[in-house]
Amino acid sequence: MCSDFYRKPQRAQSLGEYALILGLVAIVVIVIAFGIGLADQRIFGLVAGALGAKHDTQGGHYITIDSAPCISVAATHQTGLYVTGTYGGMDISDLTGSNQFGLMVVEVNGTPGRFVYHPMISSTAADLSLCPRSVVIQGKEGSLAEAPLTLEAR
Amino acid sequence: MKSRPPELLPGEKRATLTMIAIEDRTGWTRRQTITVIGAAALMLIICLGSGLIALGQAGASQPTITFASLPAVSVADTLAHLKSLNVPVSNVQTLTPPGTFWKANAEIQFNVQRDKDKATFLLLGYDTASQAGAAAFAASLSEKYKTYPIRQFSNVLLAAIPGSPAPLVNELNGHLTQWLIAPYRLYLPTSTPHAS
Repeated sequence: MCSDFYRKPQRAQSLGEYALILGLVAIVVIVIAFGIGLADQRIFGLVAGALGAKHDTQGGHYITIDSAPCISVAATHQTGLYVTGTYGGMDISDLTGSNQFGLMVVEVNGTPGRFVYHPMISSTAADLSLCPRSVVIQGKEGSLAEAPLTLEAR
Repeated sequence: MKSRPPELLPGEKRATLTMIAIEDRTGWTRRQTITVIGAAALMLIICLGSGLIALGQAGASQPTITFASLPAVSVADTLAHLKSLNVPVSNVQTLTPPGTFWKANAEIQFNVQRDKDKATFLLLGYDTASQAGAAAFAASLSEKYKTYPIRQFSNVLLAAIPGSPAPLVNELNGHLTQWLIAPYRLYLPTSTPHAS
């Protein structure tokens, strides 16, 4: 038949091809697992912080949360966080701050080694009931500090 | 003339016998058996490698501790410390009562002049670091104060009037970091000298 005439000869995969496929799959799985690991760590940190736990990290990479208020400002009808602390052994761009509503970059607070993380929680309401329970500051290599939030009405 | 099959070493003989046993049980061809064994070996190596990497990271993971809290200080002590470091402080004005916006328990305004550079600062004291952070956050939302460079040091805020020369602002930030934070966070860079 015509279709048989033009059909190219089929060949099964060799061991080398199987190994290549397996290796690529393994690389993808490892990359995904690393990302999931960081996300898991962040979620556990948020849960632990919400339960009142506070801890900092040391051992080559340092992150310390010094104060972590959630603030409602009646004059401007806004609510947000103003988390300050210190870091060492890494760059500010390695840090992300997170709460239950999402991730955000952390900024240098005046001098290198000091950070501030100040996300807006609500830009229309001054309401402390909107505040998340905890905050996590995480380095991209896996170091992490967590703290419960204190509530401040102004 | 019929050639003799090559002599197998003991290890090779055992491996060949194992493969023959697998082929007999499963009905696979030699090629399929080698492929399956190779794939299984690769998976084992990858799993072991991943496991060892994970164990290595777990072993090297940083112990978690809680650092000492930063000390609470008064604005008067803070100003006295700056003077002790020979910061050229002048025109000190204690605002009594403190401005209503800041909701501080003490507020001092002062100038610093070094050569042609002149800056005006506000030093604001609070009962807690959280209250100081709340004031800094409120200032960042205020039309009037959002352009002020404001730095928090424990329960104290240092705000510079906009337009203040950066070298003077950085100098005071460095002094207060060195005094109120660096002794309790030894990993911070120590760019400014200790008070003698």
